[in-house]
This record gives sequence, structure tokens and C-alpha cells, in this order.
Amino acid sequence: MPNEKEIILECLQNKREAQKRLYDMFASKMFGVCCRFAGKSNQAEDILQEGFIKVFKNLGNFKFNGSFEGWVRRIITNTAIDYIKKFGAHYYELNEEITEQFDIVEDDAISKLSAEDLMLMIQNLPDSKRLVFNLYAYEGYSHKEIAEKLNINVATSKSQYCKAKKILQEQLTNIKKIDYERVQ
Amino acid sequence: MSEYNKTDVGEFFVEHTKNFIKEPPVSMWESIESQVPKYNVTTYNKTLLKYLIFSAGVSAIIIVVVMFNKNASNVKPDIKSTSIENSKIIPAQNKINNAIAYNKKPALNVAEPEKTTQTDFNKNTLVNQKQNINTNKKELIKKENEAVQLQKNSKYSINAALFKNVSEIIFENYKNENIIDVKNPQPNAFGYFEIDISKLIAGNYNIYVVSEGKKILHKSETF
Repeated sequence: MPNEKEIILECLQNKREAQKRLYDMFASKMFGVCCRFAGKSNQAEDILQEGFIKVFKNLGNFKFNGSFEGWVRRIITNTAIDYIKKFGAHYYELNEEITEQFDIVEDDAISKLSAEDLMLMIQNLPDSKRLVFNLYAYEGYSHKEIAEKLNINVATSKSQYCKAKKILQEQLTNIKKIDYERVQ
Repeated sequence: MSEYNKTDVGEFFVEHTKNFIKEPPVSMWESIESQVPKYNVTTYNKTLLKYLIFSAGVSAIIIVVVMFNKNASNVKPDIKSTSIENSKIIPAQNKINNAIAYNKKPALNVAEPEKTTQTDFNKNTLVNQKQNINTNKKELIKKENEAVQLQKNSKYSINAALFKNVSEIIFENYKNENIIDVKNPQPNAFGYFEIDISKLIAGNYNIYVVSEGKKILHKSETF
């Protein structure tokens, strides 16, 4: 079984089998990332397709210095950002200070939720909030980096993140309420 | 009831969905595959190619230096390893042959091959060439001697059936001088004229047979 480096080198020798194998290695993981960034399922498919084409176009530039998965993920993330910037309704309200804490109590109703349910909640976030939430919470960007990337100021990034959390908290609270009413 | 912990909403989502995976549609690869670029394979072998060219260059330099040193030291001169082309040795060989043929005195003039090499070589190279030519000369003389030695007690045969009424067999050198002249030769038991050429000096000879009063060129031979 060839290792990751051998597969990449074979890809660069135009071997279709190796290219398919490389795609299979990361497709489902990266599609998960795309689903988080995308509002709708077909958007996730577009981001994945565009992202993988970029991966293959730039494969010769990969220097084997760091994690290949990290490199692929960065390309997918950048593709998602560009996609949402291009097609998303990303408008950013004027920054307002939000000092609230958005906590959730993991009770039975919450713990019943599957990853798919939670993913749907993220996908239902408005584009701009979902984008900031993903970059900050999942991809490890700082608010300063997000601000630079999205051409907004740091306070806006922070407020978008807090608002995203607030919406998610409300959705979880609603689920709790529904579950409670059902039990009663 | 208070056993439930409070968690930040963001952390809660990350914890429960960070490893979320989903299979993309099967048709996805087909869409991507058609847009995968054709890589220029040689581009990615550039590094290897650079190493190969560098290695070849270094090897060539080392070989040239070793050869030069070998010629300069001239510890064990070797004809095969001489840097002088064969075409330059051949005239020297001819001179030796001619000298042996006429005066038994080697007439090789080492200055002549120098003319052929001319300015392509520096002085050191010329000295080396002289040494190599001397070595070649010695080798050739040695070979000549060996050849002469081999010719001793040897005989040259001519089929008697080819000629009628043979009265004379003549070996002429290239100056048309009769070196061997056998009058009224008699064929041996197998029907061949046998001519003793053991005393013949190396060189080119025309062999004539005088048959029915006519002088017929039988063969040109180099001994």
C-alpha cells in the first residue's frame, strides 16, 4: 500500500488511479468541512469540487514540509471563504459590544442530538455569521486574522461570532422546550 | 439536576461536530477528474536531472585529471591509453616499416607527429606525446621483430595448377627490385610451389610468376 507521499508523486506522474485514491483519502472529511461552511448542500458540493480542483492544480507546489491534510484543508477553507464572499449574503452589521456569555447545559434533550442535527443548525446561520463562526471556532483563526481575511474590523468579527453563538443557543433552547413539552 | 455542566455554545458545537464526515456524491470525482491538469513530469524530475548533470560533470573532470596525471607521470606507458589518435600513429608506423625495409634503421622523426598535434596541446602535452610516440615506436619495432621471427622458416605457397610451364617466381618490392627470384621452381608432392621467405624483410611485395615466357602478377602481399 503506497504511502501519502508516494501517492502524491504518482499523481504528479499523471496516474489517474493515484489521483482518485488521493481524492478518496480526503473527500468525506473535506466534504464535512464544506457542509459546515455552506448554507445548503449543493453549495457544499460546489466548494468541494472547486477546492479539489485547486488542490490538484497546486499539487506540484506542495513541498512535503508539513501535513498534507492541513494543506488540503487550508485550500478548501479558502475556497469556501471565496465562495461565500462571492455568492453568500454576507453583510456585517455595525459592530456592537456583546459581553454576554452563551452557555448551554448539556441535558438529556441536548445529548440526544446527532452531529447531523448540529450541522443543520450551523448551516441555518446567516452566511456572514456562519463564516466567522467556522473560521474562529473550527479553523483556529484569530479575530484579527478573520478581520484581515474578510476585510472587516476585529470588533465586527467578534460581534459576528457572538451573534452566531446566540442564535445557536436559541436553537438549542427551543429543542429543549420541544422535548420538554413532548415529555409532559 | 445540577450534575449537568454548563458549556460554551461554541465549544459544544466544535466538540460534537469537529470530526463530522459526509460522503460526497459519487459523481463528484467525475466532475473533478475532467479538470485535473496534466502535469509536466520532467518538471518534477528537475532536481534529479540537476544531480545527474552535476555528477556527470564532476565525473568527466575527475577522469580528465586522472588521465592527465597518468600521462604526466608516465610510469607505465600504455599504448591503449595514449591520447594520440590512431591516424597520427599510423604515419609513424609506416616510417618504421620503411626504415626497416630499406636501411634497417628506424627513421622515425619525433618532430613530425608534433606538427600534426600543433597548437591544440600545451608543452606538457607535447612532451607526453613524444614519450608516447617513443613508446609506440618501441612497441612497433618489437612487433616487427616478432613478425620477422615468425617469418623465419616460413614458406610461401603458390598453386602450381594455376600456371603452365613456370620458369621463374619473383618477389618484387615497391621499388621493383627483385628480392627473391626462384628459377625453374618445382612443385611439391601436393602440387604447390614453395618459396622460402624466411629471409624476406617486412614490407609490401608483388609476386610475379613467369609462365610460358610471360610475367604474370600473381598477388600483392604484405609480409
